[in-house]
Amino acid sequence: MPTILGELVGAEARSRGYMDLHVLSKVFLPLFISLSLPFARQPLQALAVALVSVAACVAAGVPLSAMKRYLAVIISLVAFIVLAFSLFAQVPGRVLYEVTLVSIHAQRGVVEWRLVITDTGLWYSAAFILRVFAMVLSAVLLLASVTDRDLVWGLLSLRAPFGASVAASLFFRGIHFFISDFYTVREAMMARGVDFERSSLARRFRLYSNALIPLLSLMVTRSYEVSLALESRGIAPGSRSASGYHVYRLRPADYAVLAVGASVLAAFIAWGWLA
Amino acid sequence: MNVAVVEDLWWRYEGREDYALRGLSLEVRRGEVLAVMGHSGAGKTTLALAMTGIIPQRVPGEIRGHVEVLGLSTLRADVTEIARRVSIVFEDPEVQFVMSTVEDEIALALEPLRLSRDEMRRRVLWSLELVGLDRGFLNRSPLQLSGGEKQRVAIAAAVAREPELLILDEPTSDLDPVGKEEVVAALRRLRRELDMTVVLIEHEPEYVAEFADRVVVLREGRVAMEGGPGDGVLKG
Repeated sequence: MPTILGELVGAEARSRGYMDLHVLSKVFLPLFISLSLPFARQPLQALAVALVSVAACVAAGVPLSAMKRYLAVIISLVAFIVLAFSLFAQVPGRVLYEVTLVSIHAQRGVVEWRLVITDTGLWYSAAFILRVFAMVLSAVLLLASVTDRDLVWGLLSLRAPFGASVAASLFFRGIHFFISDFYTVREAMMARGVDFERSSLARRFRLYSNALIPLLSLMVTRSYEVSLALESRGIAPGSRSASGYHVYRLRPADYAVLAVGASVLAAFIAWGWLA
Repeated sequence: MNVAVVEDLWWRYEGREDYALRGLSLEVRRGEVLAVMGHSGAGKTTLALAMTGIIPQRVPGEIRGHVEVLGLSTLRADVTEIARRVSIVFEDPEVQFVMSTVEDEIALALEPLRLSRDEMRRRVLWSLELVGLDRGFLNRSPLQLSGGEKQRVAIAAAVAREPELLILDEPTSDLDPVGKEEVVAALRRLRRELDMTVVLIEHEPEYVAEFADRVVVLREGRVAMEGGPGDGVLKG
């Protein structure tokens, strides 16, 4: 059964037990992990949340090796966070390295922009990086385990209106359509001689901005087409369904997963409070 | 008895000066396969949308005249209400797919009909078989199928609902010769096994001659010719 992430990058949760869980469990476990993040301000707490998210991904059988291809993006993000903390936020603490980048001498004094790396700054950076890491992993866990079948028929089993269940599924499906359209526009631009690879960062940014216009137009057209296709099948926001083609029931495993998720959140709230 | 009656239908899309349909009148009889032919821009797809109520209810524009399908005025009856009894298959099957497996794609179309689970299951398998696809396709992604297979899944989703009127809007036009032959084979089986009223919008005379009981040729938004496939209409 293709999951949302599976259709995009081929990474899917492989654990049969996890995949058989109710959509409520599959949505709420990553949600509980994400909700723990605001309470994990210290590096140790952030590390604990990151480890919990790794453990959840491993338990669900999400192939973390699929993240390798995004390693460059993750490293860039880490470097950006460290630089931001060093260049723009002079966090008080023991100074490990200090250099003056700009010094302007004026009549009324000296204006200096200094790069100051402190131990506390590094701790904050580490905590921030770990929180981002945990956030990415919980998103991966969600997208690699939830299928559109889960959303439509799972939500239907929770007595959600049929139209609303289909809309929830379409929201996630929209991500797939957006990326697919993005590649279409990108290829069309490349066919006209645009070279994304050899362009500078600034030019690449400008090129991607240009791609937004046809992309938005495609999105509007696609939304319109999908809504017509659904309506022509009798599916509208207020549509109802009698029984549901697929049966979803909350089982003991779901209650266990939800309890674990809620406990994780409660533990991090308590830890954050005490710290 | 008529399944659909179109009387003096005029339609102009918003922002356009010309009318897409200009006083078009025709009727569709119960149990027949009516082929609607014509050049690009003759008004074939516009007519199909008018018969489902999408025009004028979801597409902005100016309308005059009257369209009645199965006793419902498509100008007034809700599109979803019409959709319970009328199925349409669009030219591009991909725009109709919203689920990630063939089985769910067909099942989703059945949900609003409020059928029992067993009946839905029966119809999913039956419709798939009808279009010549085996059970191995149930768990495949519709987007990863060939053009002909995609169109057959779209037809299966439409037929599974057992509509009183099935509208096929150029089901073979976007396909390569192999895909075209697959869809035509599915249509052959449909024709043989079902007593369904079908409006087949098609521009290839060879298929029309095989399937249609009656042919209507549109030109500039009105009926230019009408007759049986052997009456010389196709040559015209």
